[in-house]
Amino acid sequence: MHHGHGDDEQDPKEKIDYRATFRLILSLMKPRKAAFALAFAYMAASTLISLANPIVAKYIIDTAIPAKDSRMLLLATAVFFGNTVLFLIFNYLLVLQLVRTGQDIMVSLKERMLSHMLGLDLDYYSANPVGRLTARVQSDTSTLYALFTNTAVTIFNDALMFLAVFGIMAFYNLKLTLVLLPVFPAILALTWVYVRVTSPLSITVRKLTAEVSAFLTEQLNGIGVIQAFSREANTSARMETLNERKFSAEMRNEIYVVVFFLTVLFLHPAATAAVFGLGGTMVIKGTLTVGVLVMFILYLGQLFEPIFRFSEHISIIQRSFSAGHRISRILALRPALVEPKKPHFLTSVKDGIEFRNVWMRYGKESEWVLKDVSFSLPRGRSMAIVGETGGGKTTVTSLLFRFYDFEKGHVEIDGTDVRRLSLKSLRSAIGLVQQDIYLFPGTVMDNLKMMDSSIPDARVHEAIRLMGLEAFFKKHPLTKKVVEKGANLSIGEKQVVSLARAMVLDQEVLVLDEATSHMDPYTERLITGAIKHLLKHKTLIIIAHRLSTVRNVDRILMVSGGEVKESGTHGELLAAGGLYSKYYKLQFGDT
Amino acid sequence: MLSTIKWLYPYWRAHAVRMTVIVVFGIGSAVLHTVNPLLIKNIINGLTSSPNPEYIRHNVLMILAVGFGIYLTNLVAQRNRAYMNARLEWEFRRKVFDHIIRLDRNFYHKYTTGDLVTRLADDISEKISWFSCSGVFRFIQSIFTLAAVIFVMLRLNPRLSFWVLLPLPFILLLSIRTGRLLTGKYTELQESITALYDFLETCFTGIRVIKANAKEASQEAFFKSRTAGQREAEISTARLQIIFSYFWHEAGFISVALLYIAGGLMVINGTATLGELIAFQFYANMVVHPLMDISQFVVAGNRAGVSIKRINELLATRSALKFAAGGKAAAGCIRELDFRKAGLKNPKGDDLLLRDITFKAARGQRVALVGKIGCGKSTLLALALRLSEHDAGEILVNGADIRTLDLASFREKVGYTSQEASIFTGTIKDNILMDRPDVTPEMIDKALETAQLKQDMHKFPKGLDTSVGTRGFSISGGQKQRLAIARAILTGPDVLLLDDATSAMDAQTEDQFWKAFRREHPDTICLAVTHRAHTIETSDHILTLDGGRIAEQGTHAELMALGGIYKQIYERRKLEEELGERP
Repeated sequence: MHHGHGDDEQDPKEKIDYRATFRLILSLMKPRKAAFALAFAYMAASTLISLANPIVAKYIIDTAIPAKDSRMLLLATAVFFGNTVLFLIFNYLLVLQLVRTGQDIMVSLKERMLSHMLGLDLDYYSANPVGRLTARVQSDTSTLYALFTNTAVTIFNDALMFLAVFGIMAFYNLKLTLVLLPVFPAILALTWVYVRVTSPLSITVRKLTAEVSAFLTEQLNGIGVIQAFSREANTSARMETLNERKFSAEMRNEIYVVVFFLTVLFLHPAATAAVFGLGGTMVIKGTLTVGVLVMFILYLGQLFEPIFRFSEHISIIQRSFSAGHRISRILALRPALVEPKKPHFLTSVKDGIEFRNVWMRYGKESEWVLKDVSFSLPRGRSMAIVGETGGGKTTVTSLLFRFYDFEKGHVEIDGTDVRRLSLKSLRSAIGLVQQDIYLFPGTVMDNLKMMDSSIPDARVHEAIRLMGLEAFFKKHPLTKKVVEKGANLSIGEKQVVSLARAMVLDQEVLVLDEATSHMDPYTERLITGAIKHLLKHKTLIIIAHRLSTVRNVDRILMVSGGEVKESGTHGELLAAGGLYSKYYKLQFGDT
Repeated sequence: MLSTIKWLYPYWRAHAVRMTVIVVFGIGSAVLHTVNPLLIKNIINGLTSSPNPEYIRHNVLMILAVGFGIYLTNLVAQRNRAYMNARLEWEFRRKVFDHIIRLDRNFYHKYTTGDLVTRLADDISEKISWFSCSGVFRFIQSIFTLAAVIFVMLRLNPRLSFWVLLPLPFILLLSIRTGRLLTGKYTELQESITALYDFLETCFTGIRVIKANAKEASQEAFFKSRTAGQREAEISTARLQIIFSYFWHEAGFISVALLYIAGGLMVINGTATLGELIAFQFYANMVVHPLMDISQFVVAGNRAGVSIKRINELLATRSALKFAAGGKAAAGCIRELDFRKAGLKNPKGDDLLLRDITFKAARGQRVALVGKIGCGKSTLLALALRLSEHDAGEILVNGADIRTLDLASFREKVGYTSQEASIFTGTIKDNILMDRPDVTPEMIDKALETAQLKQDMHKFPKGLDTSVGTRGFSISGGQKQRLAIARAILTGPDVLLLDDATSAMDAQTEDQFWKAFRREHPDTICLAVTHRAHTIETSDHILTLDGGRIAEQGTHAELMALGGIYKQIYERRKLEEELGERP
């Protein structure tokens, strides 16, 4: 699966607010203090246990073998074996504890993000493509997950190990330890330089990787033009240049990687030689035993392991901060439309909906999208809004849901201004059915309830019966799993599901945004029938694209250029021979 | 796996010297690795028997020398492997790209752009590149390391070798089993992640419906159950992962334990030296590591094999363009296009996309193509340009079969705009020029003027050198269209094919364009897909397409008199323009 290029990458110019990000990371860890404490305990245990093994080796060499005591040898081996098994167990517990805790943090962060994002205004959704939103919730959180599982604790682990190893070594031989000591800060400094040098280089490589995809997309999309103008050779030459740039960037980055790792790798035999050179003389002089010498060599191996991990830690920390920064920026956003201070709760729509001289535009400087729109819709009646795309049909219904606030005029439900109503109660009383939908991964039943498990199954069955859709849901049983956003259902079938959902959700007033797509006659009949049932039971506003719909509603509103041009029944408007009659011919004529 | 290696072999051969260097230095590094434990053995034995400072110093210096030797051999081998990974990635992509950009429209109907980009970018960069050199030759180096270590161990002390090697087959067997289980877990994990992505995508695209029905809370609750699913999958994968990692990193301890007890006893008995015992402890860890490379080779090799198949599929596609026997003639001035019962098969089925297309277009004529979406208008233009090759009938240019003409020289005489104006990253000038030679600034100026783009030039901060952004992101849709027209008429083509190139212009601008165009290019044959009623009715000839064939053709007056499908389309269009509806 392919989830968009470039968007998750670090922008080298991006200014990261380190303090806010650090606060976020800390606030995520704080509630799980106990879990991290347990992880630290496992960590300390496993590290200290693993450090005991070279001492066993020393014991075998210095004590058991010279004494020619096979029982001591057996005992030492048993200790070594048992010790290692214990280490593996503690290490297992440690890693698992970190995975569990990290997952807990991630799951709650993801939930917090989704809940926060669902509360944001629709403007946020029109400004950000869906791919970017999902990346924030999924990719950025998994980057942070790597921080909590791989880095946060391991860094302490490695530091603890360094201290303990040097402590043990110093206990056995201070002089030899002091000789080794400077090697490690030097490596640390080297690592720091390495990361500083390579991180811009590797960002360049990632950018070029994204550029390759972008170039390919653009050229292959324009292949017709390229061929038409016989530009194949030039296009190849460009691809060649880009390939070459990527190649050189990779080679430039790679040389540092190879040299750095091999240099650190070389320091190991160098340190070994130092220990043998200096320690050997001590052994000959009799101030050091062979066992301690071997122990030092074995410790060296353990000390070099974290060094290879260290550069990885630094890059994880860098990436986590840019991911955390993006997350904290989202969490800092506040919606403009919120519950009013003293909300009026709408329990039921008794009289109806009224628009009086409503003016609306999306920004102070923009053009009016609605100009002086008025209409009223009494309870139990139906109304269709027709007109050209972009003419203001959807904006009318958006105001009803208070997705946006209007500038002048009145939008009232039962005589109360919608801005005074509790948002939740308003949106619970009025429902929106959009026919062009993706279905959620889950069962057909879940989708009909819109994932609301508080709705009893009986209501779903009742709704299906009221809509006369029993046969349809026999063919597509309620337990059927929806896969890939509904790829196993046809467009028409998805629309039937969305209409049935409207009945299940059981709101008094419904806004129905009809789909424009055409479909086979069987599904068309099903949908027409379903809408007729809805008309019988609900107060309906329909953004209409279907002939049968406009014929059956009580009233039609012809909206064009943001204005209500005509209003009346189908018959009246047709007889008037105005804009609607032309529109009707165009939309539903026989071409 | 064998077919993967076979596929890669010619590429390796092309870099024979470098590949030999990689193998030789890889073997060198493998051999050097076996030396260090021997030196440690010498030092320990030297220290425990008869201490000789000279002998110790010699061996210590040897450790340094061998370490440096490993550094050098690895540097050469790794640097060259990295070079080859990147180099082969470059070569693979060049080969595939150069192949596919010459293929006809059948190919581009079969594969979407997204699919092709995935194959040329991700498959090549992520799956094939690393394996093509590092994957294979690290494996070879590991085999040599394993062989060399076992050889040295056996020479040194066969009985100790037995104890160290004893657990290996069991470790290998168990690790393969765990590996299989882990693959299953990875699939489950991936599925749970995909489910979350699907959910979020549905949730964010359906945000209006969710908010309008106040169902935020139930969405969150459902999301919770899904995240819990991913959490479980992550944890159970992690469990297995830890155990799996133990096989490679920690399993040597069983060998070491056997070594301590058996070897310790042998040292006590005098059948082994203490130095050998220590040396074997190092060897015990050295035999485990290559096993990891070997198992990685299998996993990465299988993935690379799948990707290679996907690449090969593209390379195996042949262009459908056919050429007449007996050489190609350079196209002269095109005076007439003559379609005779031309047809085109649907590459995805048995039906025909176009059939019985018969019409003539002569110098200075404008032919309008009208019809509903999907009736074959764009496909007809593709036939005229040979972006697709007709399967039936013939297409004649100046009375001669189009297939007898040299393709490049023919296309040089034709100007074309695609339906979605193809604008490429670069400047406005780059997009007009498209790297064509011998273009004077006056020609560019003239083309801008004719295409009605000149009046917009003052809006671009750097004029012709203004960058248009990725796919023309920073210029408007109308500007893109006019830019594409300027590109098409730049060199004064004999034939101009416009695929709905004027839809974003207002009626007045379009009228000015046609007038300017005729003034500048009085002889050009123009085939134009268009929805503008005025453009249609003023054309010299009109083709009305329906379901892949020409339903009606003639002049506006003739077709209106016919009272058929053209009349319907035309009147509907008029009405739409009146209502301000875009097509």
